[in-house]
Amino acid sequence: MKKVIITLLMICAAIGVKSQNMKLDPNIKVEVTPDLKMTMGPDFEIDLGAHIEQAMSSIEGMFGMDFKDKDGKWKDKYQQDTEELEIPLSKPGEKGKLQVESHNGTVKVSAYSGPTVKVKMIKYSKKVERESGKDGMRLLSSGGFNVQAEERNNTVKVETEGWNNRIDFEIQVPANFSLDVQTYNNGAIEIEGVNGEHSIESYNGPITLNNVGGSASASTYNGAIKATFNTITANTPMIFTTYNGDVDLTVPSGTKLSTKMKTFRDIFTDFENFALQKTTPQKSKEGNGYKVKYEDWVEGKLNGGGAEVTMETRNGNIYIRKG
Amino acid sequence: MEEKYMSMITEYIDGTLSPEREKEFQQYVQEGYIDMAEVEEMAKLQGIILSTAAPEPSAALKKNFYQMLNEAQSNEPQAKESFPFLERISTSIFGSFLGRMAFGIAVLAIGLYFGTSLGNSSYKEELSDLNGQMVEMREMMMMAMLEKESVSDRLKGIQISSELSSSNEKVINALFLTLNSDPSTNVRIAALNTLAGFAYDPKVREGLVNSISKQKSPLMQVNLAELMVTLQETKAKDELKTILENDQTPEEIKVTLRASMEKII
Repeated sequence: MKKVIITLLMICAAIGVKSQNMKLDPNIKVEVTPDLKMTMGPDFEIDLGAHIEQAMSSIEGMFGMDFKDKDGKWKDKYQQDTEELEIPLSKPGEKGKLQVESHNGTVKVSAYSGPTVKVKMIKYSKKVERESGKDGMRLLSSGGFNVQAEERNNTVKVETEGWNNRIDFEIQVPANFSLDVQTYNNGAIEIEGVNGEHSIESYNGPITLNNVGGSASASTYNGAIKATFNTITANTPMIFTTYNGDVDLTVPSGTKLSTKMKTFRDIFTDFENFALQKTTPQKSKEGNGYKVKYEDWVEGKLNGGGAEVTMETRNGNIYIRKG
Repeated sequence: MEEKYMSMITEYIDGTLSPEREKEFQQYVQEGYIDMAEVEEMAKLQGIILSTAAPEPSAALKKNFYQMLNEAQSNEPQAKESFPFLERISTSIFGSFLGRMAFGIAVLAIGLYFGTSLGNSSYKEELSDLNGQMVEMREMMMMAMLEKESVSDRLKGIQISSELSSSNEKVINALFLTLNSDPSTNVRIAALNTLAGFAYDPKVREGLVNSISKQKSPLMQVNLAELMVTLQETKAKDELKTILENDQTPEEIKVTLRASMEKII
């Protein structure tokens, strides 16, 4: 058995900062002091303190997930380093599994025709400073990165530790791979074209599955869940849950499913062959004063019914589309 | 004496012998085949029987008979009085056509009842036996599924459990184990949805309340809090407070949980 453990411990040092990353906007002056007090301009002040993750996620929420136009200014405060890593498989060409666990940052996994797993990491850390600030201090180093990658019997594990420094992953895997991806903050997850049994979890971030095959379970809190399936493994239950965001499922037209849905908003479908059912009768035991209502579940059968697919959201719509 | 002479003798005694048979008879007598003395003896016996008249019942006998009958009749009611109840039943049942018909129907009904109940008992036992085995098999399958590595297998396990009865302690315990320790948020949510259906059971409610502080996923915390609002479970407030006091709980979750707590009156 082949085992590869690559431990990358990268501490961003004050020296060696790339000059192209130094385009500081003269209008916004950022100072980071050791007690994590961030001052942005003269007009407003954000005390990060213990809520640094919260603040970061709300900044993300304001600017969207991709670092482009508006986000550029925020990006300027951070420096970006890219690292690439190729992990060979012990049984190339056979089915495999990828497990990713990350606390801060996005994960994108796509299928490619190669035999290995390619991991690209984009690390963000606060820019170190050449000039001293008001109090005569300059930032020498901020946080650290600890990424661990491991391969065992065609199962690849990629893990990051620490919450403060963001790492975005772009991973390429062979097409027949099962994915188990967990993120938390800034945790948008995007899967493209991978066939397998997928378990995807985030907290702050949408989950997008494009042209995937097999089955999936996806759960987030802030963000939509959008899943487009090429093929679905028959008789395999699936579940998609979020709190703030739509649940949008696209399946091949002949798919047989039994759906169980719950939302405070609306449910849509473009399938003609979709039959709504009466929900499970509410169970109650008035004698002891107990009563459980089931009225918020909407059950339906697609093409006569099949494996159970649960879709739950609170602040969002549910869509079932014909692929 | 031989048979063939016997009929001749009886004919002779009766005097019905034909002249030819008379001759033959005389010949047998002379030849010594028939003993005349014997014949006379027989004739004598028959004559006595014939001459003895049937004895005439005397007047006294006639009188005595009726007296005895009366005596017997007067004795009868006494014997009958020892079963007046049975007597009444038998007359009421068999006394009328309707009674007889009702009796017939009753016998038929009793027969049918015993017939079906006795006849089916073994079949029913087998069925309930089979049912029990099915439940056991489903339990085993559920437990095995809940321990699998694959998320969809564990979801299947939960689906099986939702088809089993809530009074089944093994099922409930397995579901709570999944609810409190499964690594997948969605599997825990599926377990929660199933257990919510059994929340009329006080034990299940207690388990659900105790589960609140064990949940680290914000989605689970919020879902459990909302269930507690539906159940109006006041005991949940203390558990929810522990989540609110935790520094790791995101602010927006605290806001949602506080709103839920306010809805529990």
